[in-house]
Formats: sequence, C-alpha cells, structure tokens
Amino acid sequence: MHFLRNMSLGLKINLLIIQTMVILAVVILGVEAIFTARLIDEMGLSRINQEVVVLERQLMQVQEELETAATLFSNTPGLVSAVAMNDVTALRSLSLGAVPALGVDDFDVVSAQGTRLVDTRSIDEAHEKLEDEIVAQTLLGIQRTSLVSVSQGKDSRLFLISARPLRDDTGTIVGGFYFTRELNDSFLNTLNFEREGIELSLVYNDQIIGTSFTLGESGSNNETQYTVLQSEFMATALSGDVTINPKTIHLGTVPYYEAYLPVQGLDDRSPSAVLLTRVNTGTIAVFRNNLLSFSSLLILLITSAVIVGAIVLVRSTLIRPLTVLRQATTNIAQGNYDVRLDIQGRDEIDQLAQTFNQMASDIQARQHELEDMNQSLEHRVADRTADLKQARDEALGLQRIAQENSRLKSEFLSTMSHELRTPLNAIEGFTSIMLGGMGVELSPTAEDMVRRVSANSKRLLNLINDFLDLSRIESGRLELVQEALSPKKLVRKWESEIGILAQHKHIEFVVNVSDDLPETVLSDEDALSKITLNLLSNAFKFTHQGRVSLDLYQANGDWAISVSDTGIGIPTHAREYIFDEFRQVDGSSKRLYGGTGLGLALVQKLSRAMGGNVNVQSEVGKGSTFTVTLPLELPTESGEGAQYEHNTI
Amino acid sequence: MSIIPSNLLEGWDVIVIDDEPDSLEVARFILAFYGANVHTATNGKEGIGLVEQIKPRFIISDLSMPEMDGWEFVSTLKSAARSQSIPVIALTAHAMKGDRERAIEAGFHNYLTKPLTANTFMDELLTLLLDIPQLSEYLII
Repeated sequence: MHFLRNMSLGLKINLLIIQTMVILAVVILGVEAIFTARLIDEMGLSRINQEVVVLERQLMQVQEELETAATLFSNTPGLVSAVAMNDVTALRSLSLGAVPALGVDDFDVVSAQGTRLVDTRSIDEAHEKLEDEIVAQTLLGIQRTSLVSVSQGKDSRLFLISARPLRDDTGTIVGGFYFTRELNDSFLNTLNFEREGIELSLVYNDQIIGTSFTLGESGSNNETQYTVLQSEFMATALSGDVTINPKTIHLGTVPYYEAYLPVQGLDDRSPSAVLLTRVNTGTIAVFRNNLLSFSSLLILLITSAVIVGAIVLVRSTLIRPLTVLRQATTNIAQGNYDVRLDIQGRDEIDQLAQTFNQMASDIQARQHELEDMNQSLEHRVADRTADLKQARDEALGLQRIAQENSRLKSEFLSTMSHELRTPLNAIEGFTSIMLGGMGVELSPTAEDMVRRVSANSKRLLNLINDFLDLSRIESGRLELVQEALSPKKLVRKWESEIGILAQHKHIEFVVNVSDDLPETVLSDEDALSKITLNLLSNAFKFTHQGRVSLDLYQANGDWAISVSDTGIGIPTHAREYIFDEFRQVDGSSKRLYGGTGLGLALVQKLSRAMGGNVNVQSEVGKGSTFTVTLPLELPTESGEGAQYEHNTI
Repeated sequence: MSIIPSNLLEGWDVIVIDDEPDSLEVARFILAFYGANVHTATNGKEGIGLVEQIKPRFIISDLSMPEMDGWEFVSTLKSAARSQSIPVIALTAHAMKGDRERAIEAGFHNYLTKPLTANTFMDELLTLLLDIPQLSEYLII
C-alpha cells in the first residue's frame, strides 16, 4: 500500500470519488434490475388479468351476437309462413340476405317435419349427426345456445350452436333454424384480434383443439412444452371459475403468465372446455432490457459526469487551495513573510487559510520585532562598545599617565639617589682615609667624631641603596639573573659580613646549611644577599641576648633561607604591616632600634620577584623566625653560571 | 689594609679619570699613599690627552662623564696601537647586572665599585692587579 501513501491527495480523492460513483452506479443498476423484474411480474399479472376480463366479455359477446342474430332472424317477416309452407325459394331469398351479416359458420332452417329447407353448409357426417339431434330438440320447442362437441376418433371439434323453434300465430311449431359457429383457430384469432403476446388455446377433453397461433413455428412455442397444462387449474376452470396461475412459467427462455378460462354455452349448465390464455412477456423483457441498457448507459453517463464534476470540484475547492497553501508555506519557509492567501469562503480550507494568514502575520510581526530587537541590540552593542572603547581609551590614557608618572618618579629617584650617593661616597672615602691609618693625624675626639660621621654616612648610603632597589622593583626595572651559586659559599660570605655584629653584641650566631641542599643552585646573588643581610641585621638589631641562627634547607621542592632570633618578637597585630615600607612596630622601637623600615619591604618584594615569598612566625618576648621560600632551580650541564638570564620584572 | 705594603705602587704612573673632584681626590690620595704617581683627568678626552703624554701602568676610569664617557674613552684607547695594551679598570657608582661583562667586552680589564674607601679599595685593586701578568711582576709584595 506504499504507492497509496505516496499518492497525491487529489489523486486519492479522485480515486475515492470514482470508487464511490462506480459502487453507486452498480447499486442503482442492481436496484433497477430488481425493480424491473418485479415490474415485469406486475405487468404480466396485470396483463393476464386484463386479458381474462376481455376474453370473458368476448366469449359472452360472441354468444350474445349469435343470440341477437337468431332473434333478428326469427322476426324476419314472412319467415314463419315461408317455413310453414316449405317455400324454399322464399326462404332462400330471405336467408341469403341475412346470413352474411350473421357471421356464422353454418345456417340451417328446417321444417316441422325435419326437412332441411336451407342448409348453407354440410360439414361432415358427424356434423350432420349433431345437427339432426339439434333439429329434433328444436322442433320439440327448445330454444338454446350451447357448446357442442363432435368427436371423430381421437380428434374433437367444438361448436357453438344457437337454435330456435319457429312458431306461427297459434303457437304451433312450424319449423326451426340454428346457427353454428366452430370454435377453431380462426375463431380464436378473431377472439384475440390477432394481437401479439397473447396466445390463446382451446382445451377440450385435455386436448388442445385450437390455437390462436401456429404451434412449433415460433422458437419460443415449443409444442411439447406448450401443452404442459396445470391439471389443478384445469379442474378449477372446468368447475366454472377463472384461474390465473400466480407463477411465471418458462417456455424455453420466455417467461409466460397463464390463465384458465371456463368456456360454456349460454344455456349450458357447466363448462365443457377451457380457454388457456397465455401472456408472452418476451416483449416486456425486451422492453425491460432496452430500458435497462438505456438506464445503464444513462447511469454511466451521469456517473461519468458526476465524477468529472466532482473531480473538477475537488480540484477547484480542495486541491488548488491546498496547492496555493503549500506554495505559500514554502514561501514563508524561504523567509518571504509577505505572502497572504485570498480567502473567498468559509469552509475548512478557508479557515485554514485564515489561520495561515494569521500565522503569517504573527510570524511577520515577530520577525519585525526580532529585527527591531536585533537592531536595538546592535545599537546597544555599538553604544556599549563605544562606551567600552572610550573607557578603555581613558583607562589606557590613565595607565599611560600612570606609567609615565611612575617612570618619571623612578627616574627622579634614581637621579636623586645618584646625586645623594655621590657626596656620601666622598664622605665615606675621606672618612675611611682619615680612619685608615694613612698618615692623617687626628685627636681622639676628632677620631670619634669622624667615626660617627662615617657610621651615619654608611647608614644613609644603605638607606639610599634600599630606596633605590625598592624604586627599581616598583618601576619594573629590577633585573634578576639566574647564575649558578653555591649556598655554602654564600653563607660564608654573609657570615663574614655580619659576624662582626654578633661579636659586638655578644650574641651566638649559628649557621647551618642542610645536606639535602644541592651544591649549586640557580639564583641572583645580589637579591639573595640583600634579603639575607636585611633579615640578619634586623635579627641582630632586635636581639639582646641568646642567639641568631641562619638555616638553609630544602622544603617541598623549594628551598628556604630561614633567620631565627631570640629577640623581642613581633605582636600579632603588627605582623600584617611589618612588610610595608617605613613601618616599624611602634615609634619607640624606631627610636630605640633605628633603621628606616625599608628592609622588610625590600625582602618581601625581592622574594616575590624571585617567584618566592616570605613569612614570619613570632612570639612576643621569645623571638621571631623569618622564612624566605624560593623555587629550587638547578643549573644544567652546560653550565648556567656563565650565562646570565636577564629577567626584567 | 694594613697588610698591603705602603710602597706597593712605588714609582707607578697611574691615571685616574673621574668627573667628580672629591671622588677623584679620594682615589688619588689612596693611590698616592701606596706610592703611585697619580695623574688625574675629569673626562675621557682629558684622559686621552694624558695618555699621549705619559704611559701609565694602568688607568682607573669612571663610566659616566661629560664630553667623553668611560665607554668611549676605553674604545678610543683600545683602537690605538700605542695605548691598547694599557689595562683600564672601570669605576662605577652602582654595579648593574652584567656591567662587568659589558665592561670587559668593551675593553676594560675589570671594574671597581664606589664608594672608594681606604678599607676596601686597595684590597680589590690588588686582587685585580694580580690578574694582570704585565703588572703583577712589578708589584712589590
């Protein structure tokens, strides 16, 4: 059934229409056939009924005519006297005029003695014998009309005889006359007016003695079949009643209706013969067939017309609008939202079209809305972009200004440092000469003063150096190198530089380089020295007894420089800001311990610049531990020491 | 300091170039204390002029100076056949990373950092001079 599913809707509907119409046509034809068959039945039955009436009347009429003719003849003037006188000549002239008008087969006049005065015909011996009997009865004064049969061997003939006696004025029978009419084929033909479709047979003594047609000539009138008589109907008819066979009988292919009519003379007590009347419905069948074929043709034509009409209707009211709808839908799908359908009616398709139009309008509206939104969104995006751009430009400008400021600041600081250092260098140089035993004579007081000058200039120089380092870091101009360094050698150098402080203050100085530390590490010597010396000088500065220890060790893949003291410690609240520039724990300690407050800030900044950090653990009154953690990097085989890597931060 | 004999540079012609007179005087005094005949100049140009007059055992030169700085001075000195063998020691206010390498590459023998003090200057200078074969034989230790 796949091809059905793939068929177009129009084709499907057309097929449906054709199927329906064909079924309808077949049904109509069937109904028609049934009804025409019934029609034939009814027509046949009604025809036979009519025929029965007509034939009965005919039979009666024939007899009445015969009687009328007899009465008329008996009243013919001069007849009685002519008979009485046996005047044959007169009789002959009288009867010659009358006989042809009577339409009888035989006309006899007899005298009172039984002599035949007029005998128009003498048929045969049996007939003569019959006539004798009738003549005798007539002369006895019996007037009657009756059916008389004459049998000659197997064959029988039937006659209708009307006889009358003739009396004179005294009432004496002077003679008589009778008319005879044979009920033969020609009689039946007369009875039937030679119509077709009506077939009459006269049955006497179960034998057909006459027919209104020729047996055996017509194909439909097979003699053997035709002589089949319904004995019960025959019996009924012979008892005096007309019987109509309610069933159709088929003689050959032709359907017949039949009726059995009793036949008797007017003065007979009972019928002696039966008139079998058959209606041949062949003509009706032909008519019906004609009718059927005509109506079939008509139905075919009407069906075809209806089919064509329906298809056209379907095309115009269903398929075409659907096609239009489909095209419109395709248009919409392709983004052409202006399509609208022309609505002409109110059927479902028109409603669909209306809904479609509504949908198209909605889509279009939404599309417009979307476009508007898009546009406004674009505007907003553009605005925001412009704002952002402006903000970025402003920020860039500010940044540039800030960078410029920063550069100017560090340049200024650098210049200032240089300018400050130059005179200090001179002071340092000259004081060192004065105190260096180079032949400059000084009094003890002067020497003390020069020593103080030297110490202060050193402090100032250190301050300036720290200051310069900080400004370098902040302006991003600190350069760090990766050089191969021996921790042990570094420690020895720091020890020699700072050890003098331990000796001065009588504080124990413990140095330990852990064995797990490699022989050489990659780092920046200056930065390491500044960090360590700052931490150590701080430790010595704030420690009055006990010891200061310097430990180098490996920790979690990093390495650490740790400086511990047994000094005054740092209060918890102060640990947050000890790494800020120019901060000491309090004003008193500044006075007491001196220093600028730049040392720890420099330590932290250098540690971070080297990828490490510094943290502090402390307990007030017990001491502090500063630990600088640095990434452990090892020199490669090629000898990193010879190559300087400049890392500008 | 005291272990260095005061006649270490006895009779040596030495040129010191520095645009700062005090710095120059400190250097001159210390060198003279150890017996050297110290000639001074305040910029590279003057230094070149001095070199043309005398042939010093070594030269100490500041780097940043007006007219002709230490870099140009050493370059000029090394480009002349007559003077290219004279060791020149750079004198810097604050040593920048790689200055030593840069200085050596430019033709300086080595460098000394300021401030010049009686305690450290001669120690460092002696260490440097010992590295110079043509001078070490003259050193009186």
